[in-house]
Parts: sequence; structure tokens; C-alpha cells
Amino acid sequence: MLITIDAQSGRPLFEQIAAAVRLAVVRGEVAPGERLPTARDLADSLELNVNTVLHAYRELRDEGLVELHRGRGGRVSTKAAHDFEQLRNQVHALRTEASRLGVGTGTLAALLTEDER
Amino acid sequence: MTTEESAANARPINRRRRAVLLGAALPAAEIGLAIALIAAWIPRLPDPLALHWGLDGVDRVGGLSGLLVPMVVVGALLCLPLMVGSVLARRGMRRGIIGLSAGMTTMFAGMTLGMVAVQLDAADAYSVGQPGAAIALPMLAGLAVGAIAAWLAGPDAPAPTVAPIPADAARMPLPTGGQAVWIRTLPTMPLLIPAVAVAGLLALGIVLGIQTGSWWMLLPAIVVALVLVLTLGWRAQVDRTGLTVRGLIGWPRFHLPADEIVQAEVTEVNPVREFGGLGVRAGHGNTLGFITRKGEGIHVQRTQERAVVVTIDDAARAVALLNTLAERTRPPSAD
Repeated sequence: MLITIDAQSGRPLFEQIAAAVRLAVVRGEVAPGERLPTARDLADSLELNVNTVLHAYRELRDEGLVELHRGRGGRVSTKAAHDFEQLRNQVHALRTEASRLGVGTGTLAALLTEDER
Repeated sequence: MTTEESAANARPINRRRRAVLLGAALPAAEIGLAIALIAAWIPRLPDPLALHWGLDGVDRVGGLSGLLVPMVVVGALLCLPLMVGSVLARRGMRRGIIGLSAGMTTMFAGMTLGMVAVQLDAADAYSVGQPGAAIALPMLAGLAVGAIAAWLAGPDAPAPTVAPIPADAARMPLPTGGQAVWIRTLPTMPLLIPAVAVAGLLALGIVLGIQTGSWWMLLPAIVVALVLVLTLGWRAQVDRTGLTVRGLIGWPRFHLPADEIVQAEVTEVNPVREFGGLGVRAGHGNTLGFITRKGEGIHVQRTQERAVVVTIDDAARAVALLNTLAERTRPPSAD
């Protein structure tokens, strides 16, 4: 799991942390049931306020991706992280097909983010 | 991190003196104490002495020399080199050897003493009970004393470098002033063999317990099982402070400060050839290994010709981030 923080990007810091954890879970870098670093530890590593990390963790808990236990830190929810394997395979297939057709990743991203007509 | 900083700010520890005290003086004192006690006990011991126990009790007897000579020979072959090694060892192996020396001697001196102590005031050698506690307790004491001695021996002296990270080393693009952390659990070790070993020890302890009524021999099985639990769920973390590897409960913990990193590289680990097996291992030339499988890992070159190897997935990003964060600890280049 890689969490990168850019204070200048304008994106809220808690959102940057939450996005990184989401990506790590979907990619399978953190297994269901695995412990997340304690908020204090993570805040220390990233030179952030511990409340910023807790904000991110609460956000992920509300999404059902993380279970929070008082005093014991967070865990990746065993319920939430079930069928990402297939999604990963499909993303891989998508990338392969795009690169075969010479469609750049920018175009591919636009295809995914823009509404279908 | 904070504990290390406060330790560094406090009075610097004298590693040389601690090595002599913990690795040589303490073991020598233990051996001396054991010899003195046994000598004082001679009038209270049966003659001949019980030398060996089978399932049905004592099955071999002999003089005091028959008990002491094998112990002294094994002790001298094992403990003396460790005592000398404790005083001579530098860097990588220092803590391990000091712990081994203090622990081994405690165990040997304790067992010798224990086997004599169980015979105090016995009518004759064949009436002496099973020496279960005399074997199990020194084993426990040896582990505890060894762990405490290794801990007291202290971490290596800080050895920061200002040398730039090589230009061809992998980097991770980070925004200026941006921060990053990379965390990953080490691959699970194959646990079949250690689990079988624990089961075997447990079975042995139970059989001996039923046969002799002495349940002390369950203790080694429990200790080994606990040590096995300590090896589960290790994780590696890369952040601005450097590389940290720690166990499931946050302990044991190993930290390599960012300012001591010379260069990090992706590596392919061959556990048997490079480290002689799996686990926390000493490899060739001051290399410390956290080895849980054959394959992908990171190799971090540290100052003073030391290195750390960790088997881990996603090694490429870990290495790139380590080099980038280590570079931040270096003074800006002149040009």
C-alpha cells in the first residue's frame, strides 16, 4: 500500500489518504482482515495531524471498506473486499485491449469517467 | 522513532563495555557461581550420583565427574567461543552473539546446577526424581536472559552518511514538500515444518508427563509455540524515517534510519544459498535478512558495509520510495 500526500494539490488531505487505501484494497495489496497502520503512526510518517488520518479512516468505515475498533486501530473489512479479483482482471484486459488498439491511457480514463450516451 | 531519538540524546551507551559485561563477564560469573555451589554441595550429594534418566527413572549412575565433565566440555566448546565473540564482534552480529552468549551460558550453568540440585540430600541415586524442572526452567531462563542481554547490548551506533544516492538508483516522483508512506505485510512463511515441530514437542511433553507425572517438559513446547507466533504477520514500512520491519504486535522491531541508506535495490532472494534458510537471518558480510520465501525482495545497502534484505511483494515501489526519501536527508548538491 502506497499513500502519497501532496499538500499543494488542492485535494483535501483526508481524501488523498482514503483514495490511496481504496486503491490498495481493490488492487489486493492489503488483504481483507489485514490491519491498517494506527492513525498516530500514519500521521507521524506523513507529517499530518492525527485527526486528518482519523477523518480518512472514518470515511472508509462509512463506506464499509474498513472496520474501526477503539484502541485497536482499523482493519480492512472482510465483507467489503470480496470480488475485486474479477474487477482487476477486467481492468487488466481493458488495458491490454487499449494498448493493442493504440488507445492511450488518457483516452481510456476519459472513457471511464465520462457518462455513456 | 521517538524512543530512539530520546535514547540518542541521552548519555551515549558504551557498547564495548556492555559487550564485555553482558557477553563475557556475566557468563563467567554464572559459571563461577555454579562451580562454587556444586563444590559446596558435595557433602550433601549421594555417591554415586544419578547421571541419566529414562522413562522409568534413573538408568545410569556414576561419580560427580561423570556429570560434570561432559557439561564442561560442551560448555567450553560452545560458551567460550561465544564469550570471545561477544567481545570481538562489531556491528551486524554484535547483539546476536552477546544474547547467545548470555543465554547459552545461563542455560548450561542452570542445567548443570539443576541436575545436581535435584539430588541434594537424596538417600541414593536411584531415589532421585525426574529432573524436568531442572531442564525446563534453565531453558526458559536462558531465553529470557539472552533476550534481555541482546536488548541491553543496544542498537548500533548511528552512522549517517552525506554521500549522494547513486544517480542510476530507482526514484519515485514525489511532489515537492509531498510526503509518502509504503506499507506491506511480508509473505507468509511455510508453517508446516515449524507446526509439526511444535506438535512433536507437545506430544513428547504429554507422553513424558503421563509416564513420569512430571509436566515440566511441556514448557519447551509452549515457548517454541510462542516464538512461532512472534514470527507471524511481519510488516515492512517505508517512510521519511527510513525502513522499519516489525512483528505482529509491533515487536520485535528493526529500524534502518533514512540517513544511513546508501542505496536500495530490487533483488531476487535465494534463502538457502544466501541466508541458510528462512526467518530473521544473518547473511554474508553483515547482511541482516527478513526472509520468508524465495523470490522478490528489497536489498538496502547501509553505511559501514552493512545491508538489510527483506522478501516482499511490490519491491520496485518500496525501493524507489526508499531512495527518494533517503535523498531528502542528504545536503543539497553543490551544482
